[in-house]
Amino acid sequence: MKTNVIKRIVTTCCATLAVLSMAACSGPSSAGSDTSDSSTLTVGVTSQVKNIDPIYAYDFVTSPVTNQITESLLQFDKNDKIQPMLAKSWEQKDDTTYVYQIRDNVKFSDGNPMTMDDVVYSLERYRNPDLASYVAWMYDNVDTIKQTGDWELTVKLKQPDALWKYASATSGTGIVEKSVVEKYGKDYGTVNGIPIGTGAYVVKNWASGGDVTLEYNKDYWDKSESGDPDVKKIVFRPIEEDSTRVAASTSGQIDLDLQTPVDMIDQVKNSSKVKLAKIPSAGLNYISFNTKKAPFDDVNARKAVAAAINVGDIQKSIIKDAGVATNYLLDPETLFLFNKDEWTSYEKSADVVKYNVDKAKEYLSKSKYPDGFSFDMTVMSKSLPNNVVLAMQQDLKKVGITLNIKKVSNDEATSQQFGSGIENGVRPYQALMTEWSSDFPDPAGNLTPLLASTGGGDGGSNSAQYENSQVDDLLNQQVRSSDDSERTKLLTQIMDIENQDLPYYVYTHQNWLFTYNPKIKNGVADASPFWFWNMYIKNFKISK
Amino acid sequence: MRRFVVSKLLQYVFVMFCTSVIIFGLVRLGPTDPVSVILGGKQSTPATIANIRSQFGLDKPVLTQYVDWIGGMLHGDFGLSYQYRQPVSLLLAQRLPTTLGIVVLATLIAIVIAIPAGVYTGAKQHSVSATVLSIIELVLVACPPFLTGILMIWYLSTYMPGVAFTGSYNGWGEYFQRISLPAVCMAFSMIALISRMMERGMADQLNSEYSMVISAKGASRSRVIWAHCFKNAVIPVITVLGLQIGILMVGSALVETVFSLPGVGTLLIDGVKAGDYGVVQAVTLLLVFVFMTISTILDLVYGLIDPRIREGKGGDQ
Repeated sequence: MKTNVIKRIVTTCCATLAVLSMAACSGPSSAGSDTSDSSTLTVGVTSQVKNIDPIYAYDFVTSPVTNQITESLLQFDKNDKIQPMLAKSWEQKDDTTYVYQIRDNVKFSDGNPMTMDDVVYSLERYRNPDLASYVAWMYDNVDTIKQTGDWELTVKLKQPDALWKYASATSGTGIVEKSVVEKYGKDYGTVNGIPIGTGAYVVKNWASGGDVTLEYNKDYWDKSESGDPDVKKIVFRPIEEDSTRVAASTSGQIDLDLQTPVDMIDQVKNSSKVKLAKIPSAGLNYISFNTKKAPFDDVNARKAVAAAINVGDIQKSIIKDAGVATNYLLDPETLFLFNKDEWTSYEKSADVVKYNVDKAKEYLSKSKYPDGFSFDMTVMSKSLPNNVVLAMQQDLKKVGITLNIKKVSNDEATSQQFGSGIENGVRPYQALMTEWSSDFPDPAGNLTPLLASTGGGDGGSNSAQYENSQVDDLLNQQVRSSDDSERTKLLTQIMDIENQDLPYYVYTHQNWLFTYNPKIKNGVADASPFWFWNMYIKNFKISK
Repeated sequence: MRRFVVSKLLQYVFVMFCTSVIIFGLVRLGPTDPVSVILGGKQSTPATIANIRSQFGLDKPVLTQYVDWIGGMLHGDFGLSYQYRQPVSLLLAQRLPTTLGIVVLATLIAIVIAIPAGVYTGAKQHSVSATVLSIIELVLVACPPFLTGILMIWYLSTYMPGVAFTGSYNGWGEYFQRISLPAVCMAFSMIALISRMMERGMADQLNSEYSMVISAKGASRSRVIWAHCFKNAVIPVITVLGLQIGILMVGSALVETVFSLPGVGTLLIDGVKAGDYGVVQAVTLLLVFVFMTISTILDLVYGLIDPRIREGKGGDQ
């Protein structure tokens, strides 16, 4: 009797397994056809998509998704110039007044017309402290947001802010449908409350933690540029494991990887099925010296470190395609969009601390620690910074400086960058190796967040806790000015002070590394440094 | 008997309470400030930070936070995820099918392969084929699931680029396709363990006096093996299988990560990396709960079957 029961169990198990393995084998053909279809684009992203409400879109996973669904008042074009979008025109009336003429013929993807009520409501959401938008800081200087005509919107600032005009071209002014937000309440933006926007794509399907599938919005209001897009369906597929994502690229399961892991670049380059696009970014890799703590409250200690590091070698042997070595200048050339000649000539002539071991020893002898010193540096767990810091450790040893590496998780490093663990106004680390990228095509997008003394506290991004009243004054002057040459002069003055004070040691200007299927003819290889605001997949050209 | 059951249940409650305190405490020892997680690690103002603290109850005393959390857990409210701003119970429900699928399928594969293999090697000890099988098992047990997974992905992407190994699923076909590869990886080390146990049991039974008597009476070899010895040899294997399911639930995190599948394991790992207290404490406690419940039930069942255990005299006979 019992034998029969056991036999039956075994038979059932075998049968189940057989069925399962058949299911497993029959699967691939359907998945294969999924990506070979030229109107479908599968994008691999590095983490699960958590919330697609545009007020929380401020990372390289969420933004590419929301930018297809919701649209903003203005947009950046291919050359990062500001162009109309949901506002058909805009004008800066005076230092603090911006007036937008909103289009009257725009429809949300559910067919409802976009009203001025939706527009004002959407912008106010960014400022609502209960919602804690990730880009609420863009609204720090905004005083009022008002409808001032049938289709006219006026934004008044508390004080002049040269950066506001850029904010209105980012997803920081994404317009959503008020009734939908109110319907879903707290669930809005999650799988249980999918946002409705005016964009070219709508969410078709979203498996929590898994793929987000978008479909072309057939009633899209703006067909002026190219009619219907080549891409009719987009799948955003989270693949967190780097090696798995690269394997998915090279085997054709994803068409686009927006964050190619640097240590696997050779695999990508050697594959015949994908191409690598290298796009200069506005990003910086740097060491933040904590200027409020020994040993880096001493400028000569900071300079000694900077002069001792052979950044050229590090770039050649470790960083490779991921960035360009630099001689400590905060701003990369990608940000020189106005008065370009002045910026480039400034960059050439600037007096910066370069790699020079003798100089490093000289700085050290002038410092409080002529016999060398030892310091702890907090480093995130990504592989590239970890390899770089090992090389730095060797270089520093040669001049008598001991670098102790404190490895923490990426999230922990980020939270320290924004002042977590601050006590009595002093951040916990002696030095922090981290990164920053300007959010706007403007040099101030790197200078202000890193140098304004107000950013040294909890929540701020001045991770060197740098304080210089002269710099603060100059920053305030440039933000109040709308004259490009005057701003260039003020900003280069700030850079001069920085090159002497050296609160940060910038060692590379980063590159974006995209792995893409060569069927994408247009949109990836010519992406902008600010693709996280303006990569609109509706403009992609796909070869059939 | 009643005393035994009551004392087991009291033990169970006590252990669950202690682990909940430990989990709650350990999570708070982590270096990441939850506020920075809720704010997405972005720049913010002191006013926003204060607002978030009160919204998520982080400004309350730690003891109150603990009582709120445990009270919620007992009522099925697992708390909020800081990253997702969604109830943890909802996130769990959406990810459970993947994890359970991997665990169940891995167990099935292991049973189907390991039990016959164990019987065979146990019955044919010292034969060439049994030795070869044992060596294969040794190799399998030395394969960590994540390594098998990485090799599998490398092989598929290089030689069989049409086979999809990651992504979400739509319908049963894709579901099985997604869970089958990770399940095979997980099954490997289990196969080795189960077949080893089966082999030992089988060999012991075959060498026992009763099986010799049955053989002497003229029963065929296969009848001795399947009708008599197998029944006795398989019982400890079933016990181990029960406990293994708990271990597999946890181990599933590794293969889910390698295959980048949205399961309970990746939810937990993600939560740990991001300092998402809400997710970490709820998922960990849930895993402890599953483990504790299985082992308590096993304890109780043993007690029912074997009076020596419930009287606390197990072992000295």
